[in-house]
Amino acid sequence: MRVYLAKKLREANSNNAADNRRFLEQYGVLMVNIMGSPGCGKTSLLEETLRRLSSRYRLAVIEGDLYTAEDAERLKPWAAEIVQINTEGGCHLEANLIGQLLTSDSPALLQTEMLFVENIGNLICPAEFDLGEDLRVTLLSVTEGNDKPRKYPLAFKEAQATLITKTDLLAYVNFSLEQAMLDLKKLNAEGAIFPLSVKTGEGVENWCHWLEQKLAEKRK
Amino acid sequence: MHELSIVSSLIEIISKDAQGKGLREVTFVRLVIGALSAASPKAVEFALEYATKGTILEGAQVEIAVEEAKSRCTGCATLFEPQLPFLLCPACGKPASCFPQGRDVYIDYYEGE
Ligand SMILES: Nc1nc2c(ncn2[C@@H]2O[C@H](COP(=O)(O)OP(=O)(O)OP(=O)(O)O)[C@@H](O)[C@H]2O)c(=O)[nH]1
Ligand SMILES: [Mg+2]
Ligand SMILES: [Zn+2]
Repeated sequence: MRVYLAKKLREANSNNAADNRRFLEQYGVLMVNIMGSPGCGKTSLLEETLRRLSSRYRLAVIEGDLYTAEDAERLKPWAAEIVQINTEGGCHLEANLIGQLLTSDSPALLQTEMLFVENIGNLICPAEFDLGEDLRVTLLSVTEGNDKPRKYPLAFKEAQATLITKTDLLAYVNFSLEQAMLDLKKLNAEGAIFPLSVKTGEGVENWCHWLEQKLAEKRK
Repeated sequence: MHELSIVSSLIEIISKDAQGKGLREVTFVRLVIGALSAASPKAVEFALEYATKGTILEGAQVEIAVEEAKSRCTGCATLFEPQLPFLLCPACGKPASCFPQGRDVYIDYYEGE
């Protein structure tokens, strides 16, 4: 016999993401999904962001990593709550992994104001799995070259913000900031773009301010 | 390689449905992969071969169809086939943001006995 299903294979993930979104809404927590290639500066960005915001907000982090807990260690000094997820080879986080943490007996992650999720270093797969986040943020480091938005458009297309990181290295690499900004605008007219360097601190203020604004909007 | 996670949900969905219908064996699956789904048909095929071992789908023939993407412009309502990398509306130049077709991977149908 033939059985027609017309069933989307990522439907379960979308449903779990919707559940997560409801929890976050109820507790007024702003969830930020941080994506980008391996080594583009996700953990460094979180270190600097948490350092700047932790005196004024309760901040939590979910660290997605293939195998290690090193990145989580780096963030401990600033985070009110931190949880490590090791995907053991899995190339992206899925909504059910986040959901398990949000619905546990003591949802400490929800007693915060901002919840950052560092996704697995990868420009393709994470973009395909909604986690229930409020903000999707994609990093592009200047050492990767400015052709990346053209090569991996979907990672940048649906982001509320793109962060062009390591701008202190612009003088040493062949990266056209102008071209990257043009391409990003063309791909994603509404997304914000923040060039920044955590080494010099340049541009980090604008990014933090944007986050604070988004939190205020959510809690209004 | 999120193809593995796609294949796991395929196995889960079909196994559950087939068991519910009292089927002993699944012989054929038609899977549709959207051109903008970021899933590679080759990788899905490869993952299927291994992941179906020992399941009700073992040995099933799988047909994979790639479906072109369609977008409805949110600016001027033109229906068009978006082209990588920028996926712009050919009529007004606005980047596509709504994809009624081609962004998903789904099971069309399966056959079993
Ligand atoms: N010069 C410079 N180096 C940076 C900057 N941000 C990060 N780095 C360096 O880039 C390297 C990778 O940074 P991480 O923050 O670990 O990158 P990541 O994206 O978390 O990496 P994975 O989690 O492994 O994918 C480290 O050596 C950082 O010191 C920056 O703004 N300027
Ligand atoms: Mg990291
Ligand atoms: Zn248009």
